[in-house]
Amino acid sequence: MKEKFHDLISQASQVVLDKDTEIRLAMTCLLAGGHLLIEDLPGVGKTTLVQALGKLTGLRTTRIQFTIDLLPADVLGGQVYHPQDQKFVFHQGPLFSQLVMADELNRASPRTQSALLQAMEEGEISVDGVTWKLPKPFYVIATQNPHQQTGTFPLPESQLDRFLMSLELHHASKNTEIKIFQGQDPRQLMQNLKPVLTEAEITKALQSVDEVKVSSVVASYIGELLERSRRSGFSGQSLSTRAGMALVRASKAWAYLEGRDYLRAEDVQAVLIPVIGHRIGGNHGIKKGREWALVLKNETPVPL
Amino acid sequence: MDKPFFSQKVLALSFLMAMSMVAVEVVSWVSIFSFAVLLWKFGSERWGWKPLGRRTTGVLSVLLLLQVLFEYRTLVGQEPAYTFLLGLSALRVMDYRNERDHRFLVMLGFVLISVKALFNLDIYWVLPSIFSFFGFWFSLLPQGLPGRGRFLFRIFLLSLPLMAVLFFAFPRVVMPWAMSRGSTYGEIGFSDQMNPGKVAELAGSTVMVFRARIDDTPLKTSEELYWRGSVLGNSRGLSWRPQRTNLKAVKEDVPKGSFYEVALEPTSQNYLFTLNGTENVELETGSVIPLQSGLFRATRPLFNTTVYRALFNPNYIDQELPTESDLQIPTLSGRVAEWVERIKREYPKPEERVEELKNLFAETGFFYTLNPGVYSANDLEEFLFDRKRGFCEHFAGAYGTLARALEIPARVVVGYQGGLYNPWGDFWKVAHKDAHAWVEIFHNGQWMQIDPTRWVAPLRLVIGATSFFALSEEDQRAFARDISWKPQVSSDLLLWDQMTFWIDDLNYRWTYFLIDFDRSAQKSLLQEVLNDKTRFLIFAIVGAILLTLLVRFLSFGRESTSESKRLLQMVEAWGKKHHVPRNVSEPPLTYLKRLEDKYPNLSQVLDDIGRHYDQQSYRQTPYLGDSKKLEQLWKTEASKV
Repeated sequence: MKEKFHDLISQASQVVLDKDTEIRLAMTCLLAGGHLLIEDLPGVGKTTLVQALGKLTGLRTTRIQFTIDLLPADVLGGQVYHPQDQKFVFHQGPLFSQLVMADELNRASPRTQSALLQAMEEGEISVDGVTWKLPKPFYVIATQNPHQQTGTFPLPESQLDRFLMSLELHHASKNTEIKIFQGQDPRQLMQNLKPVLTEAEITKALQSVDEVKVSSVVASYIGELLERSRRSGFSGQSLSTRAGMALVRASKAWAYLEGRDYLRAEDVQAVLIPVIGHRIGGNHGIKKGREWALVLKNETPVPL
Repeated sequence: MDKPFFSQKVLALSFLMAMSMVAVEVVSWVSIFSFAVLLWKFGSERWGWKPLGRRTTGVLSVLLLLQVLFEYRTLVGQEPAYTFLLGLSALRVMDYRNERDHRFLVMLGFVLISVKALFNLDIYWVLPSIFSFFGFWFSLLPQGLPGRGRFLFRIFLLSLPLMAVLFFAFPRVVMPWAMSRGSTYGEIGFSDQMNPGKVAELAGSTVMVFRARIDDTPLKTSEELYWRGSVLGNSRGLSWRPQRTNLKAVKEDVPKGSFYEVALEPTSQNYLFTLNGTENVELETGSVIPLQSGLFRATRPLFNTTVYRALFNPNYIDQELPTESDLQIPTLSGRVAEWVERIKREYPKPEERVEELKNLFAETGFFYTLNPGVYSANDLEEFLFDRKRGFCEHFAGAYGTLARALEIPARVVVGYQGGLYNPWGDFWKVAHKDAHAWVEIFHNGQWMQIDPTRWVAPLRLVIGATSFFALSEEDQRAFARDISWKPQVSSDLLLWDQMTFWIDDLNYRWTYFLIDFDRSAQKSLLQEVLNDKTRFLIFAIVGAILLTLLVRFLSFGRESTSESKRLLQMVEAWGKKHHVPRNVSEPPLTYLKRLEDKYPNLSQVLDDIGRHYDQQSYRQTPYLGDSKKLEQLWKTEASKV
């Protein structure tokens, strides 16, 4: 089972070169059933990565390009009058999909942002008093530009919390870039990708991730991490219990990808920065948050 | 939200019971104080009275301690300990608010029961103690636990074997300092100061002194039972004081006779009460000092119920020659002196004088009563010629002094007379009520017993003190000399008596059972059943089993993680020594990998340690290999580097 995921990761890394760790983390995020936020400058391969994942997982994928004038109805869908039947019919928006790419989420107005984020949290949307269930599994992979850029509306902390992980992609290295320039166009490569997984397999994997055991040593390590984030000397935002639970979930998915049914401290450390980076940055931004997360990681002793 | 005390019925009831058991033993002020505090607590929980704050109860505790110290000058001993414990318990109930108080209270409760058991093993107290004990345990079990009673019962069943082992094998430790009843113990006890009224005072108490099994002796009726406690040789007229008694010379040949057994309640004194005609006494623990004039003393004060066996010789005669001091008397005056002079003049022979003495007491209208009024030490005249009301001690004292005045050597014996026969258990129960005093005169070359009470109130001797003092004053007066008279007893009273006998018998058996297994019986049991070698073997085996169980118990549960943790700590310590310490944030397995890279020849054992850790600490499954061997391997491999 996990081989399929590894196959998926290796295929994706042929399209998005030199981003193995990020791809793996993204996959971890999906396995943990969480939403993913990718923050970086335009043109580093965010969209390509998400598209590749969409193709390979075989999930129904839609893409929403957020702009400042995008309205909630554009995302959720809306009632449209049918003159033949003389009644309103709900037209599903692009959100009715399994894997939603929310490109440049922080360019949208807060109102639209919150419409999306509410859907992410609850797995359903309400339009004109009618509640519509979103399909399952339902993932949102949002990308956003660093919020110092002009024309962005930074996501409030409470909404950042809805994302299980955040990733940075960074510029590709010079050698990689040379390879990219010489190789095929990623868009063409994408055309050749075939789904590796079925929906049932994904559901089953999600279940297996849930069953990963957490030993008391690891649990106390996570507790220690949370506790240290709340100490007065720590620069970042303090971590909530929900953040701790997210950390457990992500670690479990990582352990699952490693082929284990129990957690190690290493699993926690592997997902630590992506999981808490965007939660402890506060209004200093995700970049700063990741720095603090690293400090937290290095300062927290791993219990024996 | 505060934890309520009285709503937890089991706890409250158990604690009240434990406190009541102790409260009956202490001076009333502290009992009243304690129950007032309890009532206050009840009011504060039920009717919203303002409870005492912790500070107030703290101050009260200190005051209580000071009061106890002031009153008794010590905390050691039964009564001061009881007093302090009781007051403290009540104050802690007032403080009762949370789980911590609960634990403390339960601990206090256990102490209360234990202290009670330390001094009193009567079956009446054992039953409520058991109830309280279970109540306390019950209250300690978590509220949500289903089937708490059953759970407790299971624990009880499980603990039975250990209880049995402890009962038979645990050494009995005696701590005299802890057992002393305190200097001002209020209970009336036997004493050999026969001041006027002293014996009467004793006789007012129904507290039991001892039980005796005399079925092997020829003595069958209460009339014949004279239990000697002490002999008084120093006359002050009506009252007598003890004299120094010498040790009895040890007889070479042990005379034949029958044995009887006495189970003496704790007295904190040395007296061993024996029948007239007792040759020898064996104490189950400790030794006995035989004294002249047929007395026996224990070498140490008796703080526990003590059983002793005595040899009874029906043909015993005391021929110890009287000394000068057996004729000592205070100066007599008035009508007493006149009477003595007249008898001396008229009757030169001792037999006649003895006869005259008898006539004096038997014929001149003396009245036997517990409440004769107050006499002073040498108030013979008032007693003999005016008031003529007295108790056995007055008759004995007066007779003794007069006999001496008539140049007949005499001494007063104090002790108990008769007892209450228990047909269920075939034993005699002797209480303070049976306290008695009589006289012995040296006549015809031997000491003879004279009981003046026999002339004044023979009924007292025939039906026993318990029945006699149960009569009304009129009946006592009317029938005292009529030995054929029997008080009428209604049938329901008879039934009640039967019940009392039965319960008393049960209690006796229980006490006996407990004492029987006391040190000596325990020792002899072990000695009988086992010789030294097998005993040692059994102890060794039991010890080994207990030790293994203990070790297993201590290491169980923690075994899975602690073992791997220890291994890793060893590696860590080693790494530190070799300048490759583990960073705090470095996960153990990562660290082991790093070490493996640095020390390739250790990689095998480090790998195994890593797997061990992974399985025990992370996967939480037992390690399949031998962890002891792994530890050894690590030690040898690491030392090579």
